[in-house]
Amino acid sequence: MTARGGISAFQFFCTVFVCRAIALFTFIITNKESFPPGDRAVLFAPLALVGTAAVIPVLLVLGKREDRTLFALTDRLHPAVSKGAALLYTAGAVWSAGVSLTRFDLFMSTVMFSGAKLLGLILLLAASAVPVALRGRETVARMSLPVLALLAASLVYVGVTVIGEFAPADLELPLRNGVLPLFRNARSAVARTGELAALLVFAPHIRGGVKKGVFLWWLSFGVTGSLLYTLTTGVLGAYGERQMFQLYALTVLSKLGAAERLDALICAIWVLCSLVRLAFHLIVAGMFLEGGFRVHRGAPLYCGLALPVLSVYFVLSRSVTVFARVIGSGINDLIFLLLLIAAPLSVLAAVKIKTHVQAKKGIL
Amino acid sequence: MMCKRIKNALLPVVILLILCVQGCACPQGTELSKRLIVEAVGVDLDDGAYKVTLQALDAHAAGQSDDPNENGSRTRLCSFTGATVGEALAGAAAETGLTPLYSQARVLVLGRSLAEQDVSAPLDFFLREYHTRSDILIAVADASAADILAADPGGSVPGAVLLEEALLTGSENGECCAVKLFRFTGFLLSETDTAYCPVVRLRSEDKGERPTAAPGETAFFQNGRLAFTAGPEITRGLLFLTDAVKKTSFTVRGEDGAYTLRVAKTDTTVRARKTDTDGAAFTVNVTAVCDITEFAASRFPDLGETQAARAQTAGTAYLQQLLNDAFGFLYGEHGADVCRLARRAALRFPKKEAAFREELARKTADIRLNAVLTVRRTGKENLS
Amino acid sequence: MLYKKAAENAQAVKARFGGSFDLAIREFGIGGKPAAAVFLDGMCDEMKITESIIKPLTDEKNFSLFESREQAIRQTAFKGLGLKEIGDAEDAAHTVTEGNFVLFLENGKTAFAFSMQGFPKKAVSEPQAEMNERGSGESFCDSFKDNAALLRRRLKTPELAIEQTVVGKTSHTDVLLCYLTNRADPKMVDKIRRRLRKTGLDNLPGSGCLKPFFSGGAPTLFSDTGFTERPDMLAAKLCEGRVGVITDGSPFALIVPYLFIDYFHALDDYMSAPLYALFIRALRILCFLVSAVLPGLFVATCNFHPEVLPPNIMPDIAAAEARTPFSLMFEAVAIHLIYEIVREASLRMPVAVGSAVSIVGALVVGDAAVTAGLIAAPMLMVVALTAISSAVVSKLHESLALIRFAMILLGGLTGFFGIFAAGGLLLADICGAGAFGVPFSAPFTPWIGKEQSDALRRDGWRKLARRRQSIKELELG
Repeated sequence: MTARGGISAFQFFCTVFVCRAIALFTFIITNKESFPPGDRAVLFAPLALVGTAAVIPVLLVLGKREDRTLFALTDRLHPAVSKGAALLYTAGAVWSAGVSLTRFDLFMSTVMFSGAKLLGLILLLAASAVPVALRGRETVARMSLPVLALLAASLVYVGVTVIGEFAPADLELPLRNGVLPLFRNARSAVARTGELAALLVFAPHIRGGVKKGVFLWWLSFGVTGSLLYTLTTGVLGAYGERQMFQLYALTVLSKLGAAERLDALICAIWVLCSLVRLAFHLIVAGMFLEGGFRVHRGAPLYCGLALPVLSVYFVLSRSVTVFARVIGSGINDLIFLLLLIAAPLSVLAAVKIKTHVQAKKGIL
Repeated sequence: MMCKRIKNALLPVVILLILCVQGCACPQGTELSKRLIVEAVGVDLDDGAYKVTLQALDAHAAGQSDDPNENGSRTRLCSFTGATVGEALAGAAAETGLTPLYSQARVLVLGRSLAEQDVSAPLDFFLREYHTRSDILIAVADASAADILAADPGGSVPGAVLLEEALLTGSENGECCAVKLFRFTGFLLSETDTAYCPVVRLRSEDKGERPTAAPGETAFFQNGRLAFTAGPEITRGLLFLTDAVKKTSFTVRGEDGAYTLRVAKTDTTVRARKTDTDGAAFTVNVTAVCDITEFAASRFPDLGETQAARAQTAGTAYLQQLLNDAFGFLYGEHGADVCRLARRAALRFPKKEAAFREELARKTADIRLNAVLTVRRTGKENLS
Repeated sequence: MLYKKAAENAQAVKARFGGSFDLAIREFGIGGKPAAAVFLDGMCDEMKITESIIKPLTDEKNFSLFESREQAIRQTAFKGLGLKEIGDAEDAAHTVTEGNFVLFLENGKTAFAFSMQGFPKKAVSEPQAEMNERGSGESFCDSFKDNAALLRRRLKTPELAIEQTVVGKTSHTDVLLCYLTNRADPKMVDKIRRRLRKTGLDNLPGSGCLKPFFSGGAPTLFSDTGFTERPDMLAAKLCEGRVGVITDGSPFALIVPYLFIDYFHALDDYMSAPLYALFIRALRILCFLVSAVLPGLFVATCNFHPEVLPPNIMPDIAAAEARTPFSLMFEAVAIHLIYEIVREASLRMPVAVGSAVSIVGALVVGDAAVTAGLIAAPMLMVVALTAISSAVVSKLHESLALIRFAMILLGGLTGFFGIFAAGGLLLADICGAGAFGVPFSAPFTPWIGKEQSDALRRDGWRKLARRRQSIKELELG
């Protein structure tokens, strides 16, 4: 077997997994009544179904051979459509990166460096992400595997060391509020996963089955999240429900012999995940700009993209209330709807109509 | 060419800028020698104000001293007072010139008077503070937490370490319970569970040496305050009921002599079921596997199958009595749901959760305790 | 173009050498006609010249059966003396610099060069930088011909191609390109060949100067071109389809391309049981990590994350640090600087003062610093462990030295956060590097299952024999 280029589907989904993992660890469950612990344990099933269904428009854009980009379609409509699409998706990627930075800042300033200024650390993270992004998508995809392995090892360590504190009596039965709230929570979780929009530009560079990979990815991510939340509920009980960052509270308990409070080290691994996530978003934004405006993806572009990311961060990080209000306003749902459903479907429909009209006119 | 020059000049400027921002916009580290390494924390309520006592390592004194066995040179005791725990500890840095570090604190002792008022207020500080370990052991002082912390026997090992070891070893041996802060808090927050923790008292050595702190009874909390305490036998029963016993020994009297049984392993299961009339019913099964470590009888008799069976019967009776007494005292007299029956009922019968909880509160639920003790080993002597 | 007179040709060559004292000219008669020879005294073996060339040339019996002296030289035993024909004085001058004996005949159309090298060179010795327990005791030497012979002894196959080229406009250093024609990718070999030709170097003092020319693009902390002083190691790598570059005057051969995991391989791994090989390779990787991040982690832990320290040792560390006047970060930087100074001194110093430097180094760092209370004992322990770990992966010393200092500074300023952010950059560096289409981080990422048989773990020889490793499997198209 000889060489191959690009990245494999496995690498791509590992990268997306790492990006989502950090979002999972820094996720704050604001409305615990509507998302009880029992439901968190079984969320993986509806998540896989809803998630796969939600990404169908994107998969349709990829075409049968899974190598078509969004711009292959928008270029057939009008150059302005390509530019508009590029701006839209770039804005989405920048927003997602900025929110990610803000969430990370909130996490770090709450649990680790409480009361301290974190601007320097955030700048360090952003400054580190630019050279990583400059290395290219293959580099980020290759990085994701060791980072994922490290993450998995840390989670296994946490699981093994805290399992002794697991009290089945602390668990709750799922579906206490019925099936609908469960699917509503699944929809909400799916709406936060904008990373899959990257398929619209990554597709030609991915080898292997993307469509099969999407379902498997949702399932594995869902199962991981469900397992972690089940462990959290069983170990921490009512104490855990009061914690802002429940998964972090679990890592605090992990202890093996003389090794105690390795939560700081585990959080440092989450820094790696943040780095991958940030670099991934920069690359995606760069690729959309390259597709729409034919710009060269170099240092000036990535530095230029880092500025709006930091601007979003500066605005959202002013206070927790501002951040919570913005996030709770349903903006994620809107962005997901727009970028992963409305835009791809609109483009597909427009291309189909144009083809039909041109066929009628005998142009084709 | 001009563009390249600008780029070449920009890069070091940007790096310098990032370093400067980092220098003034990053959290500042604190050297270990500038930290007050807290080993134990005691909180008392004194005339409406919180008195927080810290047993801490004096790194400077320890650094000066070359003799590790020099008494009292490595630890220091300091007390601070304030309207809240946070306010009291805010003065710690100013008074000592060191930044307190709570990550090495082993034990959190609450004074008796404070425990009888409200524990959630003082606990809140330690739950929110990043460095505090959520598995720090919590205890209630027989009288004053400050006295407990002051009972440092001296030597190279701080009193807090000894107290922690006493609690952990006592818990393993079925003498006392060892409750971690997060577990205690979870029980406090729960609507149905009962929080409990060991009571620590001062014990003076016979030779008149410095007193040591040791656990004895167990304190139970209801509505966030100390409601009642239970003695050693009830504590032992509690440990069996909550499946917290790792190894313990007890002596039972049989027809032929006194058998000392050492518990090798235990298992406690709680099953929730419905009665014929759809009422709440629970079965608590405690099984213990024991070894006979001593058979105190005259003239060294052999320990045959008959004696082993008698030991088993006596042991089972003892265990049953222990469970009945403990459960009767805790649940029967005080309504403490130490077996978490309400939670198990909610898991098993979610639709009848409210009804079952009502029955438990009214103590009309059918609760059966079954003790099963089996003898595994009878020692090196041959069976006759 | 040659002059008609042999002596004039010889003088032309002498003039080219600007009056160098060591350019010798010998004029003698062959068959009654004048002849002149030039050679560099010290580069040629004079005894061999006299016995193999001058005596036979001046013996008339050797020319009686031939029409001319040129024919006689071309068709007799002189051919076996590395005979080359040269058309002009400039080429003759260059040939002389290679240790050849150049003969000009009166009215001759060509000059003849005979390989008469007898210059002083180092003999084949034991490897100094790559120690092995059970491997061969031979290492490359300074002579490229001897090195080629050492390689040929280990790969007795006509598939071993050794191409000679010259690098350096002034030094004209001989460089050999070695590869197995049935294993190496011809496109990769061609690329390497072209890069060698385009170096534009004036002088090539050693093989290390060629490394940057084989790198794949962006600057990186870790070189994707390896080096070895062991012929057995080079032979093994060539069997995997890689290319070796041997430079005259350098006992280190380059291996192109080189993977990150190769830095943790040693030949002894192949002589041990597979399980032990796995253990020892994992240990080397651990040593790399310890050497790179342990000092930084220690500083970060003490300053930012003291809760990580076990409760039993934290008081001792705090007490030890309380005795010293400097901050932990300063101590770490200072002690590591001292270590680098001692290391550099031990590399550069004359042998005669070696023991004195060792004593001073041990006294200064080991005893005086701690006794005087300048450095704490825990920090010294950390440095010792770092230094020993660094010695395990000595090929990565340069990268590790830089990484270590960066980690100490980041750990002291930003804690674990900065260390892991830098770790991410390093990981990106490793994952992004790669020469000639072979990712530096292969076969781990991208994960190539078939090549795992000799990456971290090593399959048994029965399995390895059935499926040979190949760098082609790792190439990206």
